[in-house]
Amino acid sequence: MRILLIEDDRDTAAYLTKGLREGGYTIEHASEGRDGLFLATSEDFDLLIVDRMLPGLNGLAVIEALRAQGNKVPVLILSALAQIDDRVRGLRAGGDDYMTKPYAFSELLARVEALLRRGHSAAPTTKLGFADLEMDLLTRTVTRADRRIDLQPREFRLLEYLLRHAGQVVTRTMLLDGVWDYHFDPQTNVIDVHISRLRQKIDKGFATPLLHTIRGAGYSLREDA
Amino acid sequence: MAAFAASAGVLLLFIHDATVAFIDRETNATIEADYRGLAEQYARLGLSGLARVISERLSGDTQTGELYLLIDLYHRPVAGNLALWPTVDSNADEWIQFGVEIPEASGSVMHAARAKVFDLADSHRLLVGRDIEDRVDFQGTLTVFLVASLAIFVVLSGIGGILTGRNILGRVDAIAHTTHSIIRGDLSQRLPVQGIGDEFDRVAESVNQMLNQLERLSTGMRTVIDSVAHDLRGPITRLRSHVELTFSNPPSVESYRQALDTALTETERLHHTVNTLLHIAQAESGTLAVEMERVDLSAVARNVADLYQPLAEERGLRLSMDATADVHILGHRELLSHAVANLIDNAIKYTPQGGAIGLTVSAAGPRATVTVADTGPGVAAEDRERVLQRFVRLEASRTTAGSGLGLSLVAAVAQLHEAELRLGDNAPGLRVEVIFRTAA
Repeated sequence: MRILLIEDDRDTAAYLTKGLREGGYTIEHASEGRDGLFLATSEDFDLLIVDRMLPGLNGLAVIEALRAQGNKVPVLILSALAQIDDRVRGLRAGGDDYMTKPYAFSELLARVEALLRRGHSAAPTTKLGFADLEMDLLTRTVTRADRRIDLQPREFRLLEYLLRHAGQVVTRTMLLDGVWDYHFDPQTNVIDVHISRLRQKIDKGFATPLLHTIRGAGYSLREDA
Repeated sequence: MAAFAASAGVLLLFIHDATVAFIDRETNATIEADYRGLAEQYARLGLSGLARVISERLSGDTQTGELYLLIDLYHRPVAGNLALWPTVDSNADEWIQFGVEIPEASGSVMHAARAKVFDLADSHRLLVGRDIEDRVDFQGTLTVFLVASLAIFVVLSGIGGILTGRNILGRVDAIAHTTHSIIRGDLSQRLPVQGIGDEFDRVAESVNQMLNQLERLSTGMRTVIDSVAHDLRGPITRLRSHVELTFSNPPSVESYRQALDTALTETERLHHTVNTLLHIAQAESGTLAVEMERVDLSAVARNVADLYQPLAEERGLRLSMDATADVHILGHRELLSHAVANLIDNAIKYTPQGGAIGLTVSAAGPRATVTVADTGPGVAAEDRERVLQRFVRLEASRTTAGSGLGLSLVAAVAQLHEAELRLGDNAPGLRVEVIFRTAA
């Protein structure tokens, strides 16, 4: 997987490059908007990570230029801008996800993984599944090992999100964003309670737990412990 | 000033000339009427008759100042009250002006006279005139009066101008003085308003309103900075002391792991604080910086309740919701959700196990109210005003960890939406009401 990182801050770029390389990705780095746009148009990448504020050509302009050329590569925007509506502006410009600095690296890694995965399964699905867990999006039913599991509407959406990101780490902010469409952190960790309730329903009474808590990062649907 | 004086002078000159011309016309008309009378007599009675008529006229009361003189071919007076033909060259039917000696108690005085000369058929000449000394006197008085008026006008308008100028300069000075104080940083100063509603007052009132807003914003800004310092200093201090302590202890993988774990927790807390502060700053910066849209308050409340329901149940609390009404306001969904979430969060935090929390959205006329009521300890009546005051100052109840910024955000969001934030007694417990204006 090749990722192009367009980021002018040297320290941030070095740290992200190192972290992502350790995560198994190939990283190209451009420290300026025009160079970044040139690289993105002349070579193939699976994902772009673009800082919003860049010398030369700003991040949003780079994305707009790419989209105008019909380039559909997934783009993750990094921003230090404080305005909440900047997120909307970033996504409107053609970004696929938006992260505000400061962010946790685990969060960035999880979102990178999610974006790369999304690029592969663009076709609409009616069934989702992981291990012996199955979800029918049309009848809105969930079974595990052919045993029917009753879920509240919100629990259904939570599990749907986890299933769409099965095997990946899903952070609390990703869940708040994807399931509740909230982009703020509640004072108390309300997501933990939702997860533990869902875990009660899908894991209790089964030999292998599927829903795992990843310390300091989030949650993941996994077969191994 | 000069223009005023000049125009006043022109006006007075016009009055003078018009009056003099009017008086001259009156005199001339009288003299001509007099002559027409005499000419009639002359035509009827001849020269001797005319002389007799003149003598008769003069024998009566001559206070009106008639002057007559009839002379023959040799310039000898035949009739009239003038001793000599005036030494002024004149032709027939011509107006002449001359001096006459008038006998008085203290001797004779010269009076101005005006007359017209007529040639009669038999080489006689007739002079019909009037003593115009009174009119000349009047003209003099009029001139003196008008010149005096002009002088008084010039002096008075000069004094008035100076006084008005001084008043304006004084007020401009006062404004400049206040402005300089404000520039030096004293935002509590206000421009003087005299209460007479003139142009200066209107400008001063507008500027004062602007200053009120500026002072409020600057106070808000200062308290935000205080809050930031307070809320960031804690985690940073803990972070630093943990690292220092770990370094001073004998190195071990376990102690390092523990220190890193603590560091991660503290940075997460810092991260959360910074994000909340950014939201507050966003809400505080006003509607220009935030895109407002039509928002269904009930939907906002239902979604937040949905998020917090499991947490409330886990804490042994009953979270009930009444948000069925279709209530729309002009607002920011994300910030509104964050504010309601913080209110519910606080209610959960403060309400003891077995208690109840109610979230209600109701509409009455132009007002839409979001109410969060709990059965916790509440806020004493005498403290409510103060707590609200502190909300605005973003220092809300810092005695309980983590709640301060949450309430500050609620206050900032309420302010952004021009909503009223009210604390009340839920008997027992706290009842927080946020009253919005509904959108059409």
